[in-house]
Amino acid sequence: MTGLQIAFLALSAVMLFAAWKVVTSDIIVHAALWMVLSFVAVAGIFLTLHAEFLFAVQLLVYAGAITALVIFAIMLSDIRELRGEGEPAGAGLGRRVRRLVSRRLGLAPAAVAVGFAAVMYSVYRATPWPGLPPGDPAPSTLAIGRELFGTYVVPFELASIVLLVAMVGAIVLTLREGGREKEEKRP
Amino acid sequence: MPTLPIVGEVDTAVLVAQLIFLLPELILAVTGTVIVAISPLLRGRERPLVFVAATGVLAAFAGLGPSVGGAGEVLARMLVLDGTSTFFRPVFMLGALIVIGLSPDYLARRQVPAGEFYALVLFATVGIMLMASTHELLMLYLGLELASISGYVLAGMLRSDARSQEASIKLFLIGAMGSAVLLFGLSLVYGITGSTNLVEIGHALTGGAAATFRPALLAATMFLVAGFGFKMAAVPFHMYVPDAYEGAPTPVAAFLSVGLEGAAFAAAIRVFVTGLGIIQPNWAAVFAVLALATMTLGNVTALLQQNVKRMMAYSSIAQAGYILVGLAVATDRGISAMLYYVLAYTVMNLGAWAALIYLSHNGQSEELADFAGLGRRAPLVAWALTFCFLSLIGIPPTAGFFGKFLLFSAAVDAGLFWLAVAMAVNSVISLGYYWNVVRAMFMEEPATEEPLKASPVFGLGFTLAVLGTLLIGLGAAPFFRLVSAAVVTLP
Repeated sequence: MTGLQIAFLALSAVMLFAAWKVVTSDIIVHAALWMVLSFVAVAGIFLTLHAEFLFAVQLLVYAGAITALVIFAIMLSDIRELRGEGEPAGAGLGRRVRRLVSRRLGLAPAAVAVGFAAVMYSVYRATPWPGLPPGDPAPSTLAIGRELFGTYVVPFELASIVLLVAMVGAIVLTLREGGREKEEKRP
Repeated sequence: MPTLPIVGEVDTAVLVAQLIFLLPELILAVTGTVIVAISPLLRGRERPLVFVAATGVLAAFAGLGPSVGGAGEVLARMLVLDGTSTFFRPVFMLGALIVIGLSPDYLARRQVPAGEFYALVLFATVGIMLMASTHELLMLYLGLELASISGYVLAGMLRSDARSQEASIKLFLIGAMGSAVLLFGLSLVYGITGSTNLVEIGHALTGGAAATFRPALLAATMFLVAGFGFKMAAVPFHMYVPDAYEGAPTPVAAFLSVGLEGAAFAAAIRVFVTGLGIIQPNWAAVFAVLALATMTLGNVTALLQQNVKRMMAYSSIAQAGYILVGLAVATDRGISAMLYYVLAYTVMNLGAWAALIYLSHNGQSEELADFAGLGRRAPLVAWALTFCFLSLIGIPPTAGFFGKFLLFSAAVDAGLFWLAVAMAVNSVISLGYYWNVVRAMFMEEPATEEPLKASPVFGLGFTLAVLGTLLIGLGAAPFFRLVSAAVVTLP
């Protein structure tokens, strides 16, 4: 096993653990911070696969910008804890048993995740994947830029309309009538 | 004209010259942006915006001119001009035009911000038109997201209504989930074929490649069926639909039921027939089962509803089941029948939703009891609604009859007798719940005799939908030729 393979496996383990903590943390800020860790681990995986550009974008956009947005959203809302029905706080045996049957933390979602992983693993193993086409140059930032503003310039512009819609939507859904009314507390 | 550089492998001058084929989408997007920009200046007097939006759609119809006749893949292969896109683009614009016409009274009464409403409808229309007219997976996905995100926002526009918020959240969570599943399927297809162009994908899978990569290809197909299933409201991916349509503003529910669903079918035709045509027996069988489950569950559950808006949600699930028969058959006849049915469904379903919008902007709710005596209070609307219901059931000479007939005969042709029989049985079941509404309108006494009102703009939108249902049915022949020609150009 090469050093790169060991790094790949270690980063994958970190990513999976962090992703699991994102789902199971009760405190939403903790979930957001675990999400940062999983993003960074994904960036590391990109690096082990020689996708340097993706590594940089993953760090800048996901670990940087998206995380900042999520933290701001948490700060601006009054939600601090995530707890579904039948997920009591506190300690003790009863709590542990109830956690086991919870839809978010319990055995059922874990079984689904493991089952899904097993199916996909067998699919990946059973398929003889095509290698990279011969003579394919390693994607450089220059090549990606050329593609982005050449072949893919129409979808690139389309993405800006998607962002415009998201912006209009965020304003429409949060602006209160008259713009001055104080936000009502939800029951 | 100054000389333009060549970027990568793309001649920028050619690209700019070919922007003319994107004219309808550009006009719609610009109109939407203009509406967003000027609506704050109107300070609440937003009613005239309906004319701006409608003018934009009409101009976009005119902008289709250069694209008619088809030119293959243009704009660096991002847009495809063939029979299918020539057919779907005006159909989706017609849907948007009718929805825009039906909306102003409702928006005024329920205090929905009209500017943003029209803008988002126009942006969503850009998305669904692009979904139907591209071979490029990246464009398909961006179009889908554009339409979906607009849909999430539109559904939540009744800000003081908790059910509208619920509809928005449900659409958002399930929609994001559906998109993720779809993307996962697309990524597997890309991994196998090394291309994001559906024609290239189709080529890459010929010559034994489909057999070599079979396990991954089947997994990809599973994810794609599920991903599209969410967007098409196919059973068992439909759970969010009744709540979402019931809570959303009624014009939005109408728009989502024809626009987003129609676009999902158009995109699915491209992905499965053009891209994955070689493994057709695998996915066609899945779609056959989905079609049966969707139409049966939709119709049977619709029978149990007291709220007509919820009933219409289940009815649109059932209709999605009929359209799925086209993909289950997957012959040229099946696909052309599907195109015809999407057109028929657009006008007849919007006609039926229009009656709900009408009641709602007159201050009524959408319970079955509110339809009592509508035949006396608003005879025109009552008869028009009855006509649209006849079309949804599939009774001649309506558009819905010919649509079902085409799907039915395509299924018989392909040897899927059981599916054809299921369609017939389901049409009979659907008679039950549509009849409930008709009986309430004509045979029950109204609570008050007070007549109901509507603005001329609403009347225009409603007339367009009902006339469409009539004309596409009565003058079905040219539309048959149109959809048959549309399919010949599919590879």
